[in-house]
Amino acid sequence: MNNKFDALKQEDSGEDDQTEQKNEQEETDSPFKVRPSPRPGPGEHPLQFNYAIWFSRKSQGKSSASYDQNLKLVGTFASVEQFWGIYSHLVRPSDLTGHCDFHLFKEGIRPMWEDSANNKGGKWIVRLKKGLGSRCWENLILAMLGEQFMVGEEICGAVISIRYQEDILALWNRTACDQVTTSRIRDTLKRILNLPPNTIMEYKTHNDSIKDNSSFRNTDIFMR
Amino acid sequence: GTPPPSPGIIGKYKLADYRYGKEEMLALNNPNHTEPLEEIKKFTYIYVEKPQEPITMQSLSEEEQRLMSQSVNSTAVLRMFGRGG
Repeated sequence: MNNKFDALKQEDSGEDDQTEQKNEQEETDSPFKVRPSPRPGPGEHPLQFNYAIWFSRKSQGKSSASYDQNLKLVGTFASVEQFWGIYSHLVRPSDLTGHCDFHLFKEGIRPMWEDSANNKGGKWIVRLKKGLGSRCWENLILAMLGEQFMVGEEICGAVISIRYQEDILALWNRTACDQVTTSRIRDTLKRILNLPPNTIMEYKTHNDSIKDNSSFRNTDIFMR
Repeated sequence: GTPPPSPGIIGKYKLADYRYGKEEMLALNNPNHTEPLEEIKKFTYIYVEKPQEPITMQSLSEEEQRLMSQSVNSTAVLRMFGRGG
């Protein structure tokens, strides 16, 4: 078993045939198919990396639907202008209800712990009161796309998770064991989000997430 | 406040070729030229027809100011770490 994606596929294979067929028909919509890379249009301002926006929503009925089945690739972009073209047409995260996530990752990196860009990595987590999520998310992604973290190619992507009583921001990086880099990311996050000094921030390695199969439990705490 | 950027980190990492501060990112948003890509229209649950201006262009609401002046953390995380709530 290489990763969770394969593991879940195997688990699902025992289910009724109808589901299987439906999945095959939807293959063209598979979030993991290769699409042509976006390019900046004439006169547009290129980003350092191409990015992809993903959306996931926990399915209501069928609780066995796996993480990757709920994950949809919304669009990709290569320039600042193309980013605005997508972002300004997407609902604000805080206006969503239910168990939803927006993921904004570099093109080629799947928003999964097991991806080769992520498997030695981890993420900073800020769990926010309801009412602050949309603005903080915007500040976070503008800084990420604009290369304001200044940690080379360490950043993998950002996630906002809408939950019942909180909105959770996460910023994923490649190398969890590199403390100089993770500290720099934490300090930059505090500034760009304008977080009060007493804000609790948590760090969790994806390896630990795989072990306890949880994104936000058993984290390491950082307070000033 | 937060300490200044960790010294020496710039030596560790090469600066990116394409960098944009927040104001530059905002300045490059032209609402008249944000024709939505066809591919996102099918995501009816999250697609918004009329382009929205960045949230940053709106000043903090009273509610946001109140929240920012206290702890921004969710009650769940405050409780978990023994900070009441």
